[in-house]
Amino acid sequence: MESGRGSSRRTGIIVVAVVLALVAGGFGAWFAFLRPTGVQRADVERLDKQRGIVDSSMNLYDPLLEEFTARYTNVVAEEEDEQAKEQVFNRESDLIKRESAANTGRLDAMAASPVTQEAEIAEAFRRFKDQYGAVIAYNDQRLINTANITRSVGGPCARLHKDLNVSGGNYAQEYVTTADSCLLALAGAKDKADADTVQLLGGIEEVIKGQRAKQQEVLDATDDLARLAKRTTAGVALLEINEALNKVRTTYEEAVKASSTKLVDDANASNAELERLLKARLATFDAAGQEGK
Amino acid sequence: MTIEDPASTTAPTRSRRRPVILVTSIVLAVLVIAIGALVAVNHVAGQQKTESLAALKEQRLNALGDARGKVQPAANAYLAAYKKARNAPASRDQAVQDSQKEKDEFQQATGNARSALQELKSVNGSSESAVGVAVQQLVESHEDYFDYMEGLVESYPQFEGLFRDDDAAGCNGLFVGSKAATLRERQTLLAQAAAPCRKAAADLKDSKNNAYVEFARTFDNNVADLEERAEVTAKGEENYAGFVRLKDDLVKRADEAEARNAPEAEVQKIADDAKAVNAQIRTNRSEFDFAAKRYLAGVKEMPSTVENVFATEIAADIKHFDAVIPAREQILKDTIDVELTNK
Repeated sequence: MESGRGSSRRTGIIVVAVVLALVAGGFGAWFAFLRPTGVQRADVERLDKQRGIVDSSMNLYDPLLEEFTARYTNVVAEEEDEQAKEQVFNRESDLIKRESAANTGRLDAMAASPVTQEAEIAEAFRRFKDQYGAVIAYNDQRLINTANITRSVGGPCARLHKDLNVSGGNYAQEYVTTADSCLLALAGAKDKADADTVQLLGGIEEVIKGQRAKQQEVLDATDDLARLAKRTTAGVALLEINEALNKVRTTYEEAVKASSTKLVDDANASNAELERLLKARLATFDAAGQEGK
Repeated sequence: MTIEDPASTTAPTRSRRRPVILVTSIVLAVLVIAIGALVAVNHVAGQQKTESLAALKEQRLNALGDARGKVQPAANAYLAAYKKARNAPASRDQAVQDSQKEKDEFQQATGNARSALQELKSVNGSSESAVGVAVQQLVESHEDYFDYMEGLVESYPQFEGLFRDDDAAGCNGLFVGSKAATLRERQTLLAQAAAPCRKAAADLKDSKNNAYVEFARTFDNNVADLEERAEVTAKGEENYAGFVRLKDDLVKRADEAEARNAPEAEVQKIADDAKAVNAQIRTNRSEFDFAAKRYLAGVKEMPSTVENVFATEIAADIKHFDAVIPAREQILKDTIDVELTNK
């Protein structure tokens, strides 16, 4: 009696256990087999859309950097309060830094796609990531360059041709003092600036140093006649300063234009190549779909 | 004794095994239910997320775009209404009252736009996801734009009144050239006008609109420069009277010395003094010319500095927003599309 009741309960339990195991196995199988595996069409579509987003995100750098330049130039030129300058700088540069962080995040999200692991896509994606990473880095550098140029050339150096009276009696003395603070600012501005910008700042430095030396000679002249002669030479040299500065500036603008054009061209080429490959990959799904029907 | 009956051992074993089976089946059952629940919740949550993303893209973004589009016309309507009231003519306070309707409508428009933005913000709180980042960027651009437009409207009476006769700022008092008989008088009149005018400029530096703020900085410096140059020219004019006296004195001394056939050393001394006075006159002259030229240029530039605020600066800022905001919108839409592409 006792063993009979026990065996029927045991059978019941076993049946329940087996059913549960089957159900669990069913879920397992559903997870294992029915859930899509490998690269899906949707993965490719997503990656292609992400590619488009990264590409169009780059267009925002120009307006943002223009905004930065406009805000910062005004505060550097017109405001004496260091805290006000700092505030504008932090706010505007922070905006661009976060822009770059968002763009880097978008590139990283693309890298996480299984599609980028596929042999025929991997290389094109690597180039795309490198090129767009370079564009992001370039714009981060542009921020530093612009800030450094604004702080020096638009700061202490601006006074050289704005506030000084060329025919004034103590022009030479004023020039030397102002030039010294300009030269100091130019030297400081080279910090963290890129090669082109360092060259620009160095070029301006040369011109200002030359002028400063000539004005120092005026100061050093012992007799009136010699001073007058020196003053005349310095005055004539001053006429050439604009030409010299323009040359430095034009060289800089050309260098910047060349490097940015190359970067943009390279990025566009890598974008076009990745887009072509992704579209081709999508076409393989279309072909497979057709065969299935 | 050592050999046990096999039957006696199996019974306790069986009864010991029973709870094990029971526990195992309970664990299994719980596991299955948990998995089932998880799948269901996941599915429902996924469904909800998809729906809310689709709503974000289709409805909320469009609602925001519509609400945003009403802000600028409302701002323009207010600026026009205020200016018209002021030209009527009416005092600043009266004009503020007369343009109250337009101001209310503007505030209504920005209020609507800000709540449309708030709606959009509430959809995706996480700033970690791609959509979250795109929402965040869109929100910031909009907030900057709304702040800018609010500042444009709120500080307009201050800006607009700077050069009006009946305004406390009284900056048109800076144009004193024809009213003054001497340069010292010009300097005094200018200093009187500059004090309230620069105070008004300083107040404008607190505006939420950066075009006003930047104008106020430049303008304040320009007025300070004018004051400095007015002082230099006034001083120069005064110095000149002194130089005339010195020169008359020297001429008298030279005539006198010649009349009494003075010794060579004394004549030389007079010549040296004359040279020194000449040098002083030259310096004075050059400083005077420099300051006078720049004073005139400063006065001449002032109207265009004021005009440029709307003609150049604000136009450029609005162009900036017109470039950035649609780009942010498109990026958010595309980012939602990525999310909505079936996994």
